[in-house]
Amino acid sequence: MGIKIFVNEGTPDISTYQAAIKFAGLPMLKANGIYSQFSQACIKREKQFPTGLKLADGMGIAIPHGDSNLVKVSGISFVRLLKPVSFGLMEDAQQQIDCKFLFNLALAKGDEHLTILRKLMKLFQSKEFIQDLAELPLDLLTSNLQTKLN
Amino acid sequence: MKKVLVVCGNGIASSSIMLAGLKDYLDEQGVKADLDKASLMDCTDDTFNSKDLIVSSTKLNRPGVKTPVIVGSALLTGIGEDEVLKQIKDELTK
Repeated sequence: MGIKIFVNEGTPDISTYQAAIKFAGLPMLKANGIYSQFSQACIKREKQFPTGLKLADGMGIAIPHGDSNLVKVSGISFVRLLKPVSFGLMEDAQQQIDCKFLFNLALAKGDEHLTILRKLMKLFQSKEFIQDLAELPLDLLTSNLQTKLN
Repeated sequence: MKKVLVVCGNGIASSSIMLAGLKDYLDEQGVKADLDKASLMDCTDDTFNSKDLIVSSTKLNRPGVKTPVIVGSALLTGIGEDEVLKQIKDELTK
């Protein structure tokens, strides 16, 4: 069974990681893939265990994720933000990293987290992939991510 | 054999990936260690202190933890991985 992929561009008013996570949750909520508490759980988790990652070129990507219990159907919501927002850095919660991209993972099973994280981490090391995230039209990016993450 | 605990936020995904990478490396280097993974939230200071080394996805802010801690998020992202692996090996073979 495939994981549903949502791809959206952020709105100009998003300036905090909380707002970015809420925005990322909207399409999944609309598709009835998550319970309404999911995004709040991601935000809470983000405070305790931030998910901002610093890539080789210093660029930031955040991968907020939440409790599998709050997920009905596994999905991943990618958001290309118009302007970067500050996330805590995974390796050190005291530090911040500006993130332009965010993958909100709503996965119903633990082993899906493992598979998807592994795939994402490999992809994040590819310059070409990062360029695709930044530049591809949203419909093309959706099918691109469908193929690469499933 | 030295006991290594690999930890992340909920002990499911990140720690598994870090552990797999670490295991491959240590096997290849011929370093034997007893590897285990856990959730940061489930670990008490005693759990940490019963190990010889902690490899954590994030900086630990736990003054009660006396065991050396190496931040191993590089094992997840692959960025700076070689350095971190070397650091772990040095800690295990000293």
